[in-house]
Amino acid sequence: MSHFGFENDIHSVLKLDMPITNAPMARWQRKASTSNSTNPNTLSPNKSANRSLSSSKTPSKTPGKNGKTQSTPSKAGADRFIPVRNSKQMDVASFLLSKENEPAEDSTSAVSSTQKAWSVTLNGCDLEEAKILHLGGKPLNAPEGYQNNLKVLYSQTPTPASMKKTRYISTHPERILDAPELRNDFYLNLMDWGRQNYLAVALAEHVYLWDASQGDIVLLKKMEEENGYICSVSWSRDGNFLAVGTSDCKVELWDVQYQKRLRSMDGHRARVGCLSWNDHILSSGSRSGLIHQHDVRVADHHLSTLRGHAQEVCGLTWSPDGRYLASGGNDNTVNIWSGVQSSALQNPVHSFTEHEGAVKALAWCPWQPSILATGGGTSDRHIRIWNVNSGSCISAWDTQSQVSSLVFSPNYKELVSGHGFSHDKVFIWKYPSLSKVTELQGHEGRVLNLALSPDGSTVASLSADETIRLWKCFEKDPTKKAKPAASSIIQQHIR
Amino acid sequence: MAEGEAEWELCKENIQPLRRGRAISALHQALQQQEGSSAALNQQKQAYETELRMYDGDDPLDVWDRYIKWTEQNYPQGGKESSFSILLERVVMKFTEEKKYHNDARYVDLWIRFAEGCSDPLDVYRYMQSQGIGTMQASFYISWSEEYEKRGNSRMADTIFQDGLKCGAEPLDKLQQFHKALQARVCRQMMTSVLVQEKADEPPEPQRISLVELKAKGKKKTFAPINRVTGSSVSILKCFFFSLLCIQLPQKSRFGHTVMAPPPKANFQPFVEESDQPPAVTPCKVNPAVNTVLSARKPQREEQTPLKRLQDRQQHMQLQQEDESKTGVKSMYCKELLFSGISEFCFEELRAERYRQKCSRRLETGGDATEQPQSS
Repeated sequence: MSHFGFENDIHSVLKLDMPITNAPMARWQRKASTSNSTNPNTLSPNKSANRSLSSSKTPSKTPGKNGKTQSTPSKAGADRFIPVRNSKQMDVASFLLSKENEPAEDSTSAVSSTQKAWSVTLNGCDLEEAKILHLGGKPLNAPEGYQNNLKVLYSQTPTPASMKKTRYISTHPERILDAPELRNDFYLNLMDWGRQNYLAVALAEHVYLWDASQGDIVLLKKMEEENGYICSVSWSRDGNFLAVGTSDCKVELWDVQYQKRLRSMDGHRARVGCLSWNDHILSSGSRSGLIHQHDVRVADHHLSTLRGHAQEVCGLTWSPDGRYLASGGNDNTVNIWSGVQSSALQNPVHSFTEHEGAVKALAWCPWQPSILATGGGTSDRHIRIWNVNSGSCISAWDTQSQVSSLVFSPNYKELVSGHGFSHDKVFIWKYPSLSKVTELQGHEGRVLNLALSPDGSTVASLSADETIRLWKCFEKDPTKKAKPAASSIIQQHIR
Repeated sequence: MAEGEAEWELCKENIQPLRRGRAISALHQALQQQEGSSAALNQQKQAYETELRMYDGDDPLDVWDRYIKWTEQNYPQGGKESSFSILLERVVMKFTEEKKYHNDARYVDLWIRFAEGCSDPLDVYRYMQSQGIGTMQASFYISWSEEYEKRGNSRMADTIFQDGLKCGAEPLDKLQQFHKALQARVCRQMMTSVLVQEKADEPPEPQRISLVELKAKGKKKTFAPINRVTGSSVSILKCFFFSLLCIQLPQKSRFGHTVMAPPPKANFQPFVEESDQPPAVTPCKVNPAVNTVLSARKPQREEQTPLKRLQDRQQHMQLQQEDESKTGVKSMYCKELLFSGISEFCFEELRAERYRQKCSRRLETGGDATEQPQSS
């Protein structure tokens, strides 16, 4: 007969004008019921505001105590455990609290044992052992039909395989590089691919350079400080200089051709987790929430400080035209700063707070000016596209995983995103239609950083399973004839 | 507690959310130890490993269970150093033969966690059912149907619940409750899909047609084109023309990445500090034979899934037993004890632990002897 019940349920559910029985109570209903329930408890030491702290339940085994009905509406905060509130426990609790202030009574052991026996019989429990506040009892089950959004984080969710691919993208990495002793920290930016085709990787206290064309490996730097580690690496636009941010709050500048350290810039009070270049200006963001702008050409390098974040700055990128600097922090804010150095005190042009997780993934669109893509952390999992001129969010969608890195790929006009908890995949999305092109699977740990090769054909992903995988996904069609440079110049002149 | 609260929030992205939640004290301890040295953590790990080997009671699963729970809580980022997946695999493999654990709630829980970490959990669940592991536990059916639901197969999810109800899995009311919740969700989905209007059709993108012949490109070495969308015959003609024209393929170095044009000169000249002391480690080339950092390895096909390994191992063990009787080769040292946990123990460590236990037992009996002089 149970299937009739199911049918009835479906009928009642599909009939849209039936009263809703399973959903949590409406706000006005909740308010009405709380005001009714808090009146009798005038003796309670806690106000009704702190509902979660306000109960106690002695660990007694007497039956009947567990059966008390809820006085507070249990459906209000559907995922909170609101324990049973019982007036008897309030009395015990206030007794125990006031007993602390009284002087201890000296009594002989014989008398105290009888006293104890009496007290146990009278109170039903041993008051000495009773806790004033005790979270006990079985946790309430979620109301029917409640869906936990965070379920996607606990295990890998297979994403539906309904993607249309117009070109062939190999699902296996072209190459896997070993990255031992990699520091598994979300807030660091440990990999960057420079224009000279060098991949710079920071592993614990070393910085290595991998020559992508020859395959040579060079150890560039080892931290001298004990227990120090490298926090960020960033290539300058032309690929000649490498900026290295360290845990002892310094930013170092290295010349790669001569493999020499040029200068070490200090000024930060906490580790330098992100760096970004704009011609000769180097911006560095640190754990203190401050962003320093340095001019690397002069001795007195510190130009200005940008204060916009309350917690660690984890993402920092200049727009390709140098007009804006985007910064994302652990305080879930994205700040857009103007590239023009106006005054000492600079306020961000825009401040986006829609993300609910730390924003480390930031990427400017190279072919469309003023378009910024941002990705949120574990609690947010969304990628958002912003128009920085107007300050509006163009689109946002859920990726079901912590977004740790975003890169735009100009070859086929796509956006690549690297993910952490819980599926450790790399997704490729078509821009601007934002449909998923493919997903690259293979990492056994969360993806921490992405970097695009200078020719745009390969994306490298650095992951907590101590590997770097190179995915060749944007290979240009080799037979497509590249427009000869001469004709374009002629076209320009004719125009 | 405001100070303490802020601490974990500063590292909130490094904390993997767990279905079972995290104990805040363990989290604080783990986060503190990450910044400094991890000596205390390693010590505790060593203690667990030793306990694994020295345990001689009748519930070895308990040690494994506690060890795994401790690892989960104390390594918030997951990752390689926690070796969580290895632990799970070991414990799962170790007790597959023991019938008494097959329906033990803790063991089934460990199997479920193992399945969640595998690439194809449905396989694992089916294997479990065939071996009779967890068939009397409600949690097994609940997680299995959840897997189906994630893949959108709610019909199978319902079937699993009915299977569980037929087998009489414990606890029964939990199973029924989850079953009802599933039905409610399915109804809700049906309701919303009826309400939602269909989106306007996007302009049809060029489609790839199956089994159509691709025009091979290139003169010297033919290879398939990247863009596989076949348009009209015009495009085919275009391709034809391109292949006729003389194309200069970019030079390919040994590693396949195209050689770039000579690097542009720097736009600016950075200020160079006068440094009095040279850096401690001068930049040098890394010899790949010595140091394997950033050395490449060929991507191997992932055929050896953990489940396969488990099945192989069972066969292997059977064969091994046959082998032993045939060839008579038997290891004369306590091989299982040494390799029991994650890390390999050496003989001295086992000896040291046995000695320590003997000493502590002697202290206890010696202490007792002073109190009651008539002890044996």
